[in-house]
Amino acid sequence: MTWKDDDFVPVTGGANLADAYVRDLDSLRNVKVKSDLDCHIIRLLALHPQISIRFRNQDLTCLDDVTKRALLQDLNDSLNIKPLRTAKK
Amino acid sequence: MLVLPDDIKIFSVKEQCSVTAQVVRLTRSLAKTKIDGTWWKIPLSSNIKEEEDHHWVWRKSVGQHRNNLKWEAVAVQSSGGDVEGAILYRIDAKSQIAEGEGAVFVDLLATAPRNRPWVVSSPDYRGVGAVLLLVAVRQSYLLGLGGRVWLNSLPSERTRKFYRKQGFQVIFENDDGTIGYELPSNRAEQWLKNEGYLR
Repeated sequence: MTWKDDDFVPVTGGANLADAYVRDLDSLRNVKVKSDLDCHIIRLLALHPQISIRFRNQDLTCLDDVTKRALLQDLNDSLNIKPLRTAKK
Repeated sequence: MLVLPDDIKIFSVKEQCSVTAQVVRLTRSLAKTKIDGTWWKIPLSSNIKEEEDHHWVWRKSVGQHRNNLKWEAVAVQSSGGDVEGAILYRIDAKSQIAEGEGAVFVDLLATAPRNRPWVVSSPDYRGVGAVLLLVAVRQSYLLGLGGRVWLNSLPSERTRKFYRKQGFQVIFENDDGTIGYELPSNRAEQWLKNEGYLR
């Protein structure tokens, strides 16, 4: 990150987003999750319905963390999401 | 997956060097004690009513969406535990550039008033807002949204310069004078590469 004078982000936001600009993701409302990993997988499946068909039988409550991580890897591969590294220091 | 807390660097104006801070989840409790209760209790060089966010109640905004996975609130916490800036975004927006694609929408973004050079004569830290915006880009990328992020901003030259530099495109001008900006996928990936997150 560089620290030039124009590096300050001013205050942004405070206005509601109109419904026309929002996708229908009501399945994410009032969902209780046990971990960040569960949360991420649930979000991915909701955001990408085309892959959720392939993975729809995955009940996260029945999976251990190792299996969930393998599932996440499969999801990332399907969506061509590369792992992000730790930022340069 | 965005793993928090996450160590990042911000620039300490006092020490004139970059220092380690953490990106953390913003809870109602943290918002109440470290934003709503403290941000505006500092000597200011300008009228705080001119600051667009002086009336924002972060604990309320965070609380309102706490059980909704479409929303996420994140903060930058300095080593002393103070919150130096915060962002609230939603992951269910429609991209205004890439038809049929999704994007992260930034609902609220602010640095602590003590870090704003137009509010105080000598800010404590610099780079906090950019770190937060980059968190939204990282999350967008990791959720398969290509790093696309859009937001509404005041139409000042300062904001225009900042967003243009990062590759944001103007997508529309709102009736209230604010400008909608979106970061397209290719510029998001370039930003992530520049910061070392992506090869």
